[in-house]
Amino acid sequence: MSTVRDIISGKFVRIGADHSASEAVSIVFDPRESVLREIVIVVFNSDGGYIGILEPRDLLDCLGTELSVAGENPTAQVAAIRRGLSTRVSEIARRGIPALQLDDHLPKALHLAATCDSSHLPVFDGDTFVGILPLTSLFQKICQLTLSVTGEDLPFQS
Amino acid sequence: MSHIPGLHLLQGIGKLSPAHLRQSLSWYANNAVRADLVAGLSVAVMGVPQAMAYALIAGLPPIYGIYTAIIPCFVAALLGCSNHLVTGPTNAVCVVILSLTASLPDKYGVSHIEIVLALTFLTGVFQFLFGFLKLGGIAKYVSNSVIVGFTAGAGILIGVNQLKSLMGVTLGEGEGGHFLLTLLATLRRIPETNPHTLLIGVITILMLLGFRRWARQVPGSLVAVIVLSLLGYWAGWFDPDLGDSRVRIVRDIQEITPTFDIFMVPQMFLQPNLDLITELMGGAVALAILGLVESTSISRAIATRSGQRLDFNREFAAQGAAKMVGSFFHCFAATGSFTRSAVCYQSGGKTRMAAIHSALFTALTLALFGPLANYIPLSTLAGIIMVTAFTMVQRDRLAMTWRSGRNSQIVMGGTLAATLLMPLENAVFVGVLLSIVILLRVTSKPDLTQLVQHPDYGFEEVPFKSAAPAPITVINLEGDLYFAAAEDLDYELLQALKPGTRAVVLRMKRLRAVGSSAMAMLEHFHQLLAQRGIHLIVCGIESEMVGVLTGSGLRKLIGEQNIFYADNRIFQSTELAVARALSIVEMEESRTENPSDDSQREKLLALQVHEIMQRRCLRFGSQHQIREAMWLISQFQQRMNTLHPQTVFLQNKFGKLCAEVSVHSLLKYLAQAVPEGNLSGLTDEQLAESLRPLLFRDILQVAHREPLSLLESTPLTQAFARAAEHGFRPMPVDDAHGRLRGVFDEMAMLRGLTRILQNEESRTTDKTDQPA
Repeated sequence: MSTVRDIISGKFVRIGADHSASEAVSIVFDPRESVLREIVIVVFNSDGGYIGILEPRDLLDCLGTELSVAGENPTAQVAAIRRGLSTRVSEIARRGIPALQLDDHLPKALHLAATCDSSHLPVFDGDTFVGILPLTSLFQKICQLTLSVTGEDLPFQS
Repeated sequence: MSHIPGLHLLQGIGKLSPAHLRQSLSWYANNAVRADLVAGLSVAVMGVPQAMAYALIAGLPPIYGIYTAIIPCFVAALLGCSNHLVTGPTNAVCVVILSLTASLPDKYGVSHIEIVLALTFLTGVFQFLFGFLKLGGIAKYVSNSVIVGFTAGAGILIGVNQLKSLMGVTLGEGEGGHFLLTLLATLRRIPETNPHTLLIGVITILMLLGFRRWARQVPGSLVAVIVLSLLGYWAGWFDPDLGDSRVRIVRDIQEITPTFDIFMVPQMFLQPNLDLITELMGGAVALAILGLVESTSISRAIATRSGQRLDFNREFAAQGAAKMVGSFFHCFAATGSFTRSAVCYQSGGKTRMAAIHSALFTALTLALFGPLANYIPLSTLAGIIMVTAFTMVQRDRLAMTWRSGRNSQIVMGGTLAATLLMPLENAVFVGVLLSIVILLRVTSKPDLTQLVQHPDYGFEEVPFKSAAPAPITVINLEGDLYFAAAEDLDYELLQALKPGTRAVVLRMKRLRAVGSSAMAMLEHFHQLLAQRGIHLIVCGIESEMVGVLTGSGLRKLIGEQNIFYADNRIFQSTELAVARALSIVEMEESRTENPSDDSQREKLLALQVHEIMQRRCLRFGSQHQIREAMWLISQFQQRMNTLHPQTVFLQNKFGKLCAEVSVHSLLKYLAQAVPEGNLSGLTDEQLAESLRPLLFRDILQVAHREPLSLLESTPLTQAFARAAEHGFRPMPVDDAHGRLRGVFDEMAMLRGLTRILQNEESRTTDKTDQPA
């Protein structure tokens, strides 16, 4: 019986609550390759307490909204973006995402994934934050289980 | 045990218990004996004159034809399985016997009949071995064109050879041999024609043709033999005192006596002549194959109508045994006779006993009327043969085969010419060789076409190399791909590539005979494409080919993500392969963008969506099932090794965007199958089982219909405003025709923001660098 422990991901970066969105962008986005890095930001307070997960969408919520009201003026656009980039991550981190325990089973993970709007779920071992569960990993696991069951019917057995 | 050669011939022996025998005899007496007796008598009545005539074709006295209609017919029916196949002398085999043996008596100082018996025994051995070793399939390598060409050629040869008997002339020593020489020599002797002989021959022909046309049920040959024998006898044309004008009769060749003391060990066993046996070997093989082809085609044709299921290997062994046994009873090579078998079936014969009855009736005829058969005019038998020869040149089948294309014309014409111009035993081999050469020529070039995907009606098949230039080239490869076909195919495939081709989809759905040469070719083709920076994706892979791909290492080389397996839905795997190719091409295009190009700096001031959008996006047909979309996303994520969830955009049959499906929406849909009260009690198998029914539903059930989309030309600021309203979820980007061009996702949005900043920085730098 698979548990969250089997599909948890360690691809996350802890940052403090006082860091800026600018720093967060530089973590998740590689400007040279112009691609998103395969990393997720988790925001903690100064005591090491978990605050929330910061997804690219949350950064965009901060920057893009400012940009959309800046109009066509390049100067205003840049100003809007810079304004957004100076925002503290604790203000934009996604809070209240339902959390999983390491030994929770897949059905529970599936239920929690269905009830929230986040692409990642925090995972705890008791009260200690231990990692994140990307919905993509959960999805892969579901595919692995179900498509292997129905493998004979699929055109693409591998 | 079933692998032991020949074991199949013993099947059924165990059933020969007294009880079983009694039961069989009882059934036979009640159900089939009357029908078989009638059929056997009909065959004998028609077959006796035919058998005598065919012996003449083989250059033997008519009595041997009668023996051949008795012994081999009896043995073949006893051991074979066809209920209607009647074995005995046949015209095509007889003419081959004559061709094989005519020149040998002088050469070896052995009598003609002894040579024929040796040939018969050897032919029987080969046929028995074919059956014993289950080589029955050998007959299928003789095509219809070969049979038609050979039969027509044999008909011409027989007709020409019998012309002299019809005219009542005798060719001198050294005359004849080749059929043209025989024809010329016969024509030169026209002035010596015996008018009575010719008259009897012509009347025979007219009678047979008349009966055939107006009274098919009447045994024309028998009536002709009786009537013309009586006519000749009454007119005194058989009188030896007439000299050259006398009509020759059967007795002049060898007197028929009603004796059955015919057992004789062939001389080949008593005084073996190895040189002779060696010389007969090749002919025996040809005769064996010809006999098998005749017997197979006849029994198959009748079994198609009677519904009997035949064991051809057993039938071949029986035919071989019949010849071997027959060679000890003055019988020449017999085989299945079409006319006698057809009469047996049409007369209501039900079991193999019908053929046995025909053999017994023939023996009875010999016993009762043997002495009278001596008075049959030879020209009557020649007339019978001439009609048979005429029917062997089947004009309708010749015309049909001629109209069947160039290959059939070559094989049929080649066989016909070989039959007329070469030693006859070689004609069959020439025909088979021609068939094989043409088969190899045809199959050494697999069918190559190209597929072009249309939004309106799926794939269109167009001639190879005629598709318009496109980043993705779809090649359809069909036919045999054995070593000869694989030769240089890689270079030929390259010719389909056009400037700008970025990926090749190779559809291999109907490939056969794929071996190591084909794999080597495919590997080289993959290498040639890689050198050009072009990706190879294969699809339509059938289960047999999976093993070959795996074993050759190509599965690993091409990559599992680039291999799509055949399904029962046509073009399913091709669609997936094209979708995969699109994603590769678009991913590469997005990578090759150069955002810091100075020439585009001014444009950055007014960035549009198409400049930063993510071209790599998953698109799929809206008619698919959930499981297929899941598989596509799963494969994509595995390939990209990404944590970021993907959205699949669904297109309708016109290629227009109609819906979107995200990983999140799929998980949400699947979650409904899991009972909330049992979140920790389900095993993986139970979870999979509960989710499985949902997987087969249409993808549109879980899709978000009519998603908000952006145009390629939408300014970045406006795009951000729309995205903000949409919760910054990925938004599809369409072209002016409503077709999906890319996606404005988180990566594209961050890319846009970065470009604005870069642009501003470069403007600032430019201003600073300007001289004061």
